[in-house]
Amino acid sequence: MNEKIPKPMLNALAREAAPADHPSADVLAAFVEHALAKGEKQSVTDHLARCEECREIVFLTSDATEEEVQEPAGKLVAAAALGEQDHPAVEQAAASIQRPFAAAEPRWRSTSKWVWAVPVAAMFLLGAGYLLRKSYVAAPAEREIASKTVPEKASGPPEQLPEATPALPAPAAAAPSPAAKGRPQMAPATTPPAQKAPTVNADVIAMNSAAPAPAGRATVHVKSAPPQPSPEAPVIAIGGAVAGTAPTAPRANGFAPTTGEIDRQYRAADSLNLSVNRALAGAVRTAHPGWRVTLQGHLEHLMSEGWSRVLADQTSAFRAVSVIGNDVWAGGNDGMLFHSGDGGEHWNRLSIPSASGTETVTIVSIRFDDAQYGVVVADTGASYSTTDGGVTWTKQ
Amino acid sequence: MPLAPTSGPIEERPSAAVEEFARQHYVSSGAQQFGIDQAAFAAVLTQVVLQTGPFGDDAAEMRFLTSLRVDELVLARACADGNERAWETFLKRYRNTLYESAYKIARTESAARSLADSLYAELYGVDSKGQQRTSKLSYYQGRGSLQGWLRVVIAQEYVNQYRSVRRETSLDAALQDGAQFTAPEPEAAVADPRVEAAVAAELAGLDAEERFLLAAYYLDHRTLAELAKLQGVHESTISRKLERITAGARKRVRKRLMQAGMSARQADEAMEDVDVRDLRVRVSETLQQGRSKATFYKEKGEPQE
Repeated sequence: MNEKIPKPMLNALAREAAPADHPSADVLAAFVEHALAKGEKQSVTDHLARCEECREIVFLTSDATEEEVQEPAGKLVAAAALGEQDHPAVEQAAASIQRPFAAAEPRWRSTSKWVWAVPVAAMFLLGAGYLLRKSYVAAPAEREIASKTVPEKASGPPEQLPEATPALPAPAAAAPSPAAKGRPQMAPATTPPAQKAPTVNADVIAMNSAAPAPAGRATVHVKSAPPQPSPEAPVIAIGGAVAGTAPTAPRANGFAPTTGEIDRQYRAADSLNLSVNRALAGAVRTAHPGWRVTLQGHLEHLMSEGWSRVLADQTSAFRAVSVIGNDVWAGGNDGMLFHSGDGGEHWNRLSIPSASGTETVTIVSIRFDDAQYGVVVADTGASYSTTDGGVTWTKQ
Repeated sequence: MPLAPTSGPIEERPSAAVEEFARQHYVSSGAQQFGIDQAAFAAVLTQVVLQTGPFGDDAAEMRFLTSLRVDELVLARACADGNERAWETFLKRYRNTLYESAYKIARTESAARSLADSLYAELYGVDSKGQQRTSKLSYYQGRGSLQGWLRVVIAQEYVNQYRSVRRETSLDAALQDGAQFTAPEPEAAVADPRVEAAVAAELAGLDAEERFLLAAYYLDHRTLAELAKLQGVHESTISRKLERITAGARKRVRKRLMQAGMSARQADEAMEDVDVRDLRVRVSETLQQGRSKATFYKEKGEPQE
């Protein structure tokens, strides 16, 4: 910028003679405090343009003026502390804070005082978004019943249908979101029993089963078995990916979505999941490569000729399946829990002991880290762990 | 720097606006507790109005009176008149800020204390014989805050002290500061009258604020932050203003020079190369660059060491 000013002009500016009469200290103080009328301010500015000495004084004064706005309040407090509450000047000082001529603080400084509100607002929005997502996880059935009118398509008695099923295994579900790390790993544990609404239909359940990835439910799942070719897997993955990414999709402008936008995204994701699940003729509830549980509560295994129902003699509906190599665990209503150590050729029924004999809770999630150690979660929120392949169970 | 005194015999009768304002604000001004009656209060206001006016009509005068810091004006005048209660109030309110402002201006503890103490004596206004009170507070007119006025007075005092010290700088001190005492600069070539005319016309076309910004930024080397703080705007606003002023001034001066018969090249040179000191610097820089090049770069064909 300095190179642009013509040097002769700069020299002429420096040679301008300073006027003999200087503004009084009173006027200079009023100039610094922006308390002069327009015409007088212009005449003082004109003087300052030619008088180096007055410019020096004005800038020294301006530099020393840092807490200009706080000073009247400070004087007020000081006067009050000194027992001068009845002093008229105290009231005058308070009034001077409101006086337009006393507004000496630069506008940009008064604006910058509110800069802190930006991160605070951002934190508030993030927190609200987090709580909103959490509420979506906690009460999906209620939300859907309240917000959607979905025609019933499910076959089978409603009471056998789950309120919340584990999410479909999807790439997004394998890696829990950071927001979900601090939560209980089992989403059904956060679902109160009172949410067992008999009017919940299969589509709603299916949609909820593909609920957004941040849900704790998404991390409940059994570990992914070694990838096996499965014709339904891509479709399921699409549904899971949509559910996992849509609510957290960033806005086009790069800012975090607002709670309203999160809500809309959730609704959009739910609608899309609903469509995806309707498109799935088999209506899969939960699946592993080579294994799945249909919405009818059937456990199926992928054979060379296609999907084949396993343990078809069981009247209770299956709800979850977990696969580690050749070890397969499947569980469902009425405390039903089966284990196969040979890839589904032979099955052993396991029982989870309780104080009154055997647990009859609905098993909604099974997760085994290896053949010996695993955790089973019931719809009541209780979880049972075993360290010996299901011989003994410990309630947690 | 001379200060325009505002005290002195008041011959004028208070105007209608002053009388009305005094009647309305006498109680709230706190003048009564300092022993100033309403007539004396009106006299103080009249004095300020006479120093600032004349105003066109009563409404303008009333607007001016409303803008005054009446309570601080009354306190200052009561202090100048030697009212003890007023002095107690003044010291309670302004003693700390007096020293703080002095420190912010002088930057060193000892200089700030010296500055504030000397000002304090002037504010109290006892002469060398201790007979006559001529307080500096009698100059305060209530246009700005009393605190701001104190800062300006401190800054004036500081500048005055600095000037006197600078005048008294010894030869040894000057040598220690690195003064070279070289031969006087050769007289610059007589400026082209066309350049002077173009520059004078351009300066006359600038308004007061533009000339103030140019002087503060280019002559005083004030920063954008300092200018922004003084004017109460953002730094970017000052930067844009300066950019606009300098670009426009350069363009217009160049145009005037060309209209006066200069070629474009001559106009550019006239705007750049008038200050012979800059010429000397450029020659020096050129020599330095030439030496660097010879030291670190080998011309094509030179043998490698």
